[in-house]
Amino acid sequence: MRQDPTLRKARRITRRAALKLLGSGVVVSAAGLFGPTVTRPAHAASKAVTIGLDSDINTLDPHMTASVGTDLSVISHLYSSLVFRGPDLKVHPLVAASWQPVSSTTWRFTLRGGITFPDGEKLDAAAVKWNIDRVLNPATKARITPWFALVSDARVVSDMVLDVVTKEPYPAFVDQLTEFYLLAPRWAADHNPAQEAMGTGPYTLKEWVKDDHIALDAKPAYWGDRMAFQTVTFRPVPEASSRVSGLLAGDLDVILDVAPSDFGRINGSRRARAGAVPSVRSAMVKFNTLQKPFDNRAIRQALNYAVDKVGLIKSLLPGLTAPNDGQILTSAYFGFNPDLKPYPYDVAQAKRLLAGAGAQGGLDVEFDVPTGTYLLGEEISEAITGQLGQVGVRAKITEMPFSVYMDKFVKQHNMAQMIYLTLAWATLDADGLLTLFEKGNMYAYWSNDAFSSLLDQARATIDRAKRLALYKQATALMREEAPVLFLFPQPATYATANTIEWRARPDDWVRVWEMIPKA
Amino acid sequence: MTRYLVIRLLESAVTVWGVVTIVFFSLRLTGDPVLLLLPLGSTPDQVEQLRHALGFDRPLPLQYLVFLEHIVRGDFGISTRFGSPALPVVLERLPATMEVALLAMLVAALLGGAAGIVAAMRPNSRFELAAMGAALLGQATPVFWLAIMLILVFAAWLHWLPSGGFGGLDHLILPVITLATYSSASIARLLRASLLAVRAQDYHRTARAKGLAEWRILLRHLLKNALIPVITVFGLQVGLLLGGAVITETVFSWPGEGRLIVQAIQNRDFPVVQAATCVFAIMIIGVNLLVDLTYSVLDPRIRYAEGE
Amino acid sequence: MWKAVRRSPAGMLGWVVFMFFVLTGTVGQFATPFDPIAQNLADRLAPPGAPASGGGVHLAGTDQLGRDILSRLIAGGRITLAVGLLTVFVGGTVGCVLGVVAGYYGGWPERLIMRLADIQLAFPFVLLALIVIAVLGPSLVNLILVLAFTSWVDYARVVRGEVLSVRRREFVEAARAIGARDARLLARHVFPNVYTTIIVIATLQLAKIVILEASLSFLGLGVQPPTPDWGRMLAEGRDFVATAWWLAAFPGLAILLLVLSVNLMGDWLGTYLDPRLRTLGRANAREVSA
Repeated sequence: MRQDPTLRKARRITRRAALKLLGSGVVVSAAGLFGPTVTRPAHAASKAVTIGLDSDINTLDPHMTASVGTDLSVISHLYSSLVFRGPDLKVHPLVAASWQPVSSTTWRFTLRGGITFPDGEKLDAAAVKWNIDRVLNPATKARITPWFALVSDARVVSDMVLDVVTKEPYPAFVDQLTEFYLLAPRWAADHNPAQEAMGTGPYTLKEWVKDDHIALDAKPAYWGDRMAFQTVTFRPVPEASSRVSGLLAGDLDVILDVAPSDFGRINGSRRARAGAVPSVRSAMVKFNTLQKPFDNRAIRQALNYAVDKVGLIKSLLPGLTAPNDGQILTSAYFGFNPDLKPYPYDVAQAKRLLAGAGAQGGLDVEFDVPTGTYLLGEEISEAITGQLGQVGVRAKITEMPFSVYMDKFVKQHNMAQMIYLTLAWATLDADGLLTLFEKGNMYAYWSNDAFSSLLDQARATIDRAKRLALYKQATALMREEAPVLFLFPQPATYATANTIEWRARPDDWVRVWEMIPKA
Repeated sequence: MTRYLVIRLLESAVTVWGVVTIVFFSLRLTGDPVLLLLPLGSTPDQVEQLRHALGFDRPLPLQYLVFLEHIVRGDFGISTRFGSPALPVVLERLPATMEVALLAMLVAALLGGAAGIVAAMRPNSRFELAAMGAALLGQATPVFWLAIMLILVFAAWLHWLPSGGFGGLDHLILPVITLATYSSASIARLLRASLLAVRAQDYHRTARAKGLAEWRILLRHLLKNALIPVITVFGLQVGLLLGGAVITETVFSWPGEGRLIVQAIQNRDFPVVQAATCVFAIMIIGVNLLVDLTYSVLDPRIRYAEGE
Repeated sequence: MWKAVRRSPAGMLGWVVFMFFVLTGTVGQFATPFDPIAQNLADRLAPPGAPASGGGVHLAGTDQLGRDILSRLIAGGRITLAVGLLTVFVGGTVGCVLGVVAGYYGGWPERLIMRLADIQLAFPFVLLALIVIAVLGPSLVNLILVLAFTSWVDYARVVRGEVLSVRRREFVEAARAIGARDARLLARHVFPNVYTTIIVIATLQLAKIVILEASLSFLGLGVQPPTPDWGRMLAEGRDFVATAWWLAAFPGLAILLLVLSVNLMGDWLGTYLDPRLRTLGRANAREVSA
């Protein structure tokens, strides 16, 4: 049999290519097994921690971002704030040693002295005033201006004492300041705070490779508590399963936003532990009460009875959260009403209410759901649709990207009959969250004068006891009127390598001084 | 030929301008850019204030003219998400994107090319069956599945390679394999089909060829004709990959253009979308121009003379 | 023609599998083992072969809401097939016609078409999808529109390239010289040299389209829940690749088989249409054994 020379040549080419691939494969494996483990530092020796975040860090400028879980968490390592919220969710002093209201519209802050920026600038009352002015200045286009909407002026009383004057009483102002970080005035004039950083925080910025990682180094001399970790690296890892694989591979020590279905393989790996805490963000189905059929209270209540929240949680989020107590506030909020209970799962009652409203033949409603936004949002929505079907309510889901969903909801004022939504408010104050349901608010789609009047009264005073009493009434009213289908607080899921001890926070902050290295 | 090139370059400039303009106006169709920039719960006044500060409340034609005036100077505006100039934001991710794209296409060309040639030269053989079977798997495997599996096996289980991120050879291997899979499968199938067709046309010559020298010449001759569709598709894929492969970049946390542009679109970061589209348009048009020029190298009968 | 199919075992396999998919797609939805949209949260993420709490067995397991995957596969095939085939048909026809016009006539038609192709390629796909969702709405027809819009360029550029090289061949020039009409030239000389590549492109496109559909469903364009569809099922299985592998594996397998069958059919079709290719295999065997 004559050998075909073309075939021989072709075979040679293929063999060569195959050998090349094989060879590189061998080299790579050898490098992996015996080469330097550049990406996997030994934890016991050098105190380093690598945190896997679910999205990228956009900016280092503390006034241009409102995302606590990513940007602000990194920023909090580089800069300082007047006050901070501890793991106990209470407000603690930091740069501000103490504060008190000198009138119903003026807050006085007395600063802790002796803090200077690395370039020598003092962090004094004048510097804080500069920061507040920067946010209030429209030319800055700050993203956090809404937080300071009620602030009219900041006045330097003395070197270390600052007064902040508000247009109306602003009881939650200090809570809002837990997210307000301070730049150095002179430095900020010559540098771009979005890309560079120089602050009074415990760490300095070592390097930032966009979309890949941010590395921080502990300062040798820091005016606050000693840091346990010398190096901190934040890595954006957008894909959920890659975060878990990174954790199991040893590339990551702490990860957030873990899918509940991955808990099994993390806990079974003996390298890491997964867990969850109920966050301060409540999930709900919001009704458009300005249109049929949800202009009818009986129908809204009926849907609240028709959904088995406990069953939902048991299947989709087992042990990770518990139903909201008939309100969208969680126990972390000031104004939480401990006397309210969730709507019980009562199909018979639901059917009765529907029949009473003339809907015993069933109901067809539109249900808008944003994709890729909320943890298990699509699944939960589908599960709810299944349960509502059992009482004759046929919900038709339309999934859409978050930007389109927000446009419909907010810009076009054309919210669907029902939408899946989660809400939280950074100040952990009932005023912020409940205002979203006040008559006339563009997010409300609910018109209740009694509710609005209660909120107005609560806003007019800074007396805590008075406010609590008013919010008690407001939340009870909201439960009764049911402008939403109450669900549950979204769980904040996380996982840590066994070398780190840490629990995620309900309010999304990720801070390394709350992590304890285990030898 | 020079005249042809000059005309093509002028056309390219017009095409880039066309893309940028279409993107400019159609971006506005996707919705309000300012709404997503402020925290939820902001009042309409606050939204309007930011809208005015960013210049989005001016009439659209005016915005467009200002935009044009700026891009001639290379200024694509400030990214609403990053707070820094948009063009550098796009350009700094280009090296990482090109690294993985070019390496993947190189692997695909070698692997797919070899498999396609051998399969065509040995029809109905076991090799052809194996190669086309592998090609089938390669073209039908979802990218995300392959990427996730590779990480599971090589990083989480075997600890041979890192689970993601930017870096040297060990960080490149898995993303390159993922991207090269579909491309090598398409090149293999296309090259084989094309070679078979060309070979059938010149059947008489093929049947009479004896001896190594004649076969070598014949193969080269066959390839010249068969390569045209393959080069076309190769060019299309290179162009596409240069714009970033969003799924691969997401799963491997690779800092590339694909991720950037998809997130910019979803976050309504108009300056970055516009800058990225412009850069991408230049690259794609450039690659296609190169491919067209290659046609005349492969087949001298294709000429780009006057009047063509 | 059927005799030709029978003579090629690969081609026959392709046809059989394809017909099987078409059949299950059209009538299968009436004969699924379980209701494809019935949720059962207690049985969620059950592995293949697990018994159902109401009786019966989930041969392919259940998904994240307890729905039977096999039933959803059967019911979903219809939409996937329709979307895939329609997109290939529409995109392919438009692309081939434009490619032939561009390659054959040259001049300004070619320049216009090729620059349109460049614009299409440079336009970000996600942006196109978002615009369609925002302006036209997330319907199935719009999904096919978006997919067809994105795929015509592949055909156009490849066909143009081939036509450019064929156009110059001596016999074409000769035919033109004696005054043969364009249409006849195109049909008799240009087209036969080009369709093998077209068929391969079409089969390559089919796989790409079905998988692209998966990412579009992430954006919310296309089929809305709870309607089953292979692309969507694949996308939903992405979070479970490491844990409940069957969610992505079975739709993936179905897609693989569909692409295989279309590939085999396409290869057979190419051989059938070009008689010269048919004899290639036999002649080669003769040479080698001489």
